[in-house]
Amino acid sequence: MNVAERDTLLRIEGLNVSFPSGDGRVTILDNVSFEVLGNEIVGLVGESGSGKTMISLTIMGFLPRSGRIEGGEVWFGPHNLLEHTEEEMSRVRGRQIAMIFQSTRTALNPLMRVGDQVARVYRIQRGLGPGQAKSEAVKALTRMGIPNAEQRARAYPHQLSKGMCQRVLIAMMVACEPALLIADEPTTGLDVTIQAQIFELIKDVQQATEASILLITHDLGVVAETCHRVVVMHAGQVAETATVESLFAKPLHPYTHRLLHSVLRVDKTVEMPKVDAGLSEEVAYSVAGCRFAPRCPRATSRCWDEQPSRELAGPEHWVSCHNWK
Amino acid sequence: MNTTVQEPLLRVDELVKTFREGPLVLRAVNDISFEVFPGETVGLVGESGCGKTTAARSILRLTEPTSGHVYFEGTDLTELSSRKMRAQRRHLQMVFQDPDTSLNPRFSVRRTLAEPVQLHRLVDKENLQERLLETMSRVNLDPEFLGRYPHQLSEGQKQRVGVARAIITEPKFVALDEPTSSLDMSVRVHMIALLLRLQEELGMTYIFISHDLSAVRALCNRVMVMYLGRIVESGPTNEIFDRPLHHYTRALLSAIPIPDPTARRQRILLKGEPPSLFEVPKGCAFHERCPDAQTGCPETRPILRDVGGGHLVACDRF
Amino acid sequence: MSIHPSTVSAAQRLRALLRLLRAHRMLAAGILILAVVILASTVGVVLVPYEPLKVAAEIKLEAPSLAHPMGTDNYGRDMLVRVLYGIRLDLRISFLVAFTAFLVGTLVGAFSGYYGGRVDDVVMRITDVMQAFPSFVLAMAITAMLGNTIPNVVIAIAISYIPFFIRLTRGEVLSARELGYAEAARCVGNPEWRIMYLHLLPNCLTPALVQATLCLGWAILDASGLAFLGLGIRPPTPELGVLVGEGALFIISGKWWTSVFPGAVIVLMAFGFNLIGDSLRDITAQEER
Repeated sequence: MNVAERDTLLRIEGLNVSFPSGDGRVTILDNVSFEVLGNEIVGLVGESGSGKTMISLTIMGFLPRSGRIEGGEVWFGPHNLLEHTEEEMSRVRGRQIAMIFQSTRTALNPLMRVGDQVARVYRIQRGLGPGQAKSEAVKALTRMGIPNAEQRARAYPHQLSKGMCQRVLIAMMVACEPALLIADEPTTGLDVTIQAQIFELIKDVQQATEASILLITHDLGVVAETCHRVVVMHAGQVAETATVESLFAKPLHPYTHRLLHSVLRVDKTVEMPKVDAGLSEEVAYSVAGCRFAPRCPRATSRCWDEQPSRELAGPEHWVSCHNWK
Repeated sequence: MNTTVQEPLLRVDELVKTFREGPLVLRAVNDISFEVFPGETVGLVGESGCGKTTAARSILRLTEPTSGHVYFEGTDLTELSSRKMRAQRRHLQMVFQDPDTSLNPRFSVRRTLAEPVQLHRLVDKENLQERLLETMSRVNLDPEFLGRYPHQLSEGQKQRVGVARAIITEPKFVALDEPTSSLDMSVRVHMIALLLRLQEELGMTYIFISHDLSAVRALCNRVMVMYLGRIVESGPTNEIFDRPLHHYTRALLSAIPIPDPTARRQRILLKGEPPSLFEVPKGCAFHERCPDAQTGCPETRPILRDVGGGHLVACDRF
Repeated sequence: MSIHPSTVSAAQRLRALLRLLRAHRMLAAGILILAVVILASTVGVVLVPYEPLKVAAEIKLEAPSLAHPMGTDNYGRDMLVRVLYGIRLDLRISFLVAFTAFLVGTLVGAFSGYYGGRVDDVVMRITDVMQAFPSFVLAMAITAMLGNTIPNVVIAIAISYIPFFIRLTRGEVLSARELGYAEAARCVGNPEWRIMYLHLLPNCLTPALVQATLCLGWAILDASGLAFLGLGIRPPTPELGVLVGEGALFIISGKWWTSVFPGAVIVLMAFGFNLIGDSLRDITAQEER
């Protein structure tokens, strides 16, 4: 699928997903809206409980059975993915939207050599013959920075390090030539130096293929160094969407503001907070309005009752807050 | 002017810990030596497999060192009998990495916290409750949590219980094993602030084991960088972070993403992946991946040398 | 994704329990069967007006009737009251057996799993030898050696079950001892025995408990089997196996009630315990996921 640079590739509108909890249901994704354009890396950043993984599962149609889509649309090109049948989704997955997860080793077939697994993708998705698929696989592994690719292709997943396995997965993902790649915390559990290598690889892949990447992460540093635009989520609601420069220079949402000022850094010693507020961790799913209200320094009674709508606050900079000004 | 030289609280001397798997020998800790002075917070950093956690566990004799000595307040811990060692444990505590598995699922918070106090007979029965409440408030946990069980607590709360358990005996020395790694980004700074406050209140000395260098920077006054079981660089925190000398340290620091898009840095990418601990390279353990390796590097193992201001590097280039 | 748990209300917990019972009809059925049997044996002996040992030759081998719902045996004793007393005895035996085997097996298994090394090797080889014999055969051999009293029967059967408990507990402890809380327990100053028995063992009992409920069923079969063969409890003590043995002689002549009723009760009780044990195994396996 060939997409011009500024065309919208993926558009999520008003997505609402609920899960059972205790006696009733909890809205895990509350009126989520954002876009991914062509040829860009969008970071989806949030803490645990923010719903960021649920979004990727919803897009791919992998929502667990207990999850219910209460409303909204997921537009991919001219189609609403939520209305696709399982068969239609299976044609989208891989070919048009590909995804890599956190747990690298379990994502690979432990009984099959890695080279064969990559070759298989070429055979199924691109219809290549076995000989050609094998050579393409080796080439792909080399492009992913795996040394001695021909030899390494004969290895089984358990014989490779986690970093290598992640490269193999990325190779498989790229082999499909999808228009959209979803990477959900692709470096969890990897060492810092390997993480750096993987993110450089992801950036190179994006530049080479001009695909778009939805990068899900909790690490603001990764967002700053890898992404073009960023979507900040909190408790299932989108707080702010902006270009990376714009977000870090001028965070408008109080949650983003707090996040940026409390995050620990390597390049300077961060000031310690005076008050220990870290304990109020109970995520405010029950609040009808903005879910950051319980912890927000600017919260008014309106914030508790009325969910703020998405406002354009600057060039490509949207905020969902009553009091952002 | 007071010229008395301060005695180190902890002195580690040529500590080695190896594991055997049949004929293979895994050198987890490969001859490390250092001192920790009272009131300090020393960071032990490195990536997975560098031996930092094994080093801490060996120092506390949670696993028996293969060779070497550990002196705590002058007493050689490696020579103590089990009973004497147990008595020492009152002052040698540890906050464990994974709050999910380090709390006994069948023990209430009360039981988990009361046990160390009872084992060391620190207070009598009437004062136990008071001690429990005092400790709970120190870590900012609601006293009503005393009756709860681990599965009823959140990650952060479990982590705080782990901290409470470590400090309830008012130890002189606490090893902190990745206390921030399982926490959300916005919560980490609060954990660091808590640890700093506790250190001040109780006069404790910390060793902070972590691969999260941003947390290390916030908490430690001295840092030791480990690679494949050895210390490759050590010194005051700001010195190490702002003027790293060893190539591994420089690569490590450059690999960490900074939450600031305007800070464009030159990223030093290391070649390949760390070798297995079963096959530690001869000479300098890092020479195969070092961008600046010389002819002598694969031959001689470099010693930690002081290059000024308490900054030590194990590299023959300096 | 994590939704932090707030304290669960008592009503919610009750509802969860009922859901569990409904979903596990096996468990409910097993409990029901045993409840009936136990109730019958406790209440029944009071209600039924006969003596289990009282001989009355004039009414011998009478077919089931209103006066004697299970008929009479060849000594004219009422079958129903003998069966009820038999149930009581067998229940006592099976609980004692399960308890003993559980106690000894878990303590030894925990020790073996915790220390590993040579101690573990020795214990494992001994259990291997014990398990090389079918448990019934082992129980037979031990009763033959020790004699036919009730305590000896309990000991013999318990010994044949102990290896199971040792293995199960050892396995659990072997993996649990690597867990963080075991190391944390050592770090706060616990001596080894406390770590083993107060920290680890309570967390490792689930498979052993399930096995214990299964053993309750097996013990009834084993005890009655031994009695039937003349190796266990001897007549005139009313024990279900004894009753089956005594009545077996008369089946050919058509007097079926003397062995079929006690036999059916044996099967029913074993079945009930098995249902409970199997459903517990399923429930605990599901929880672990």
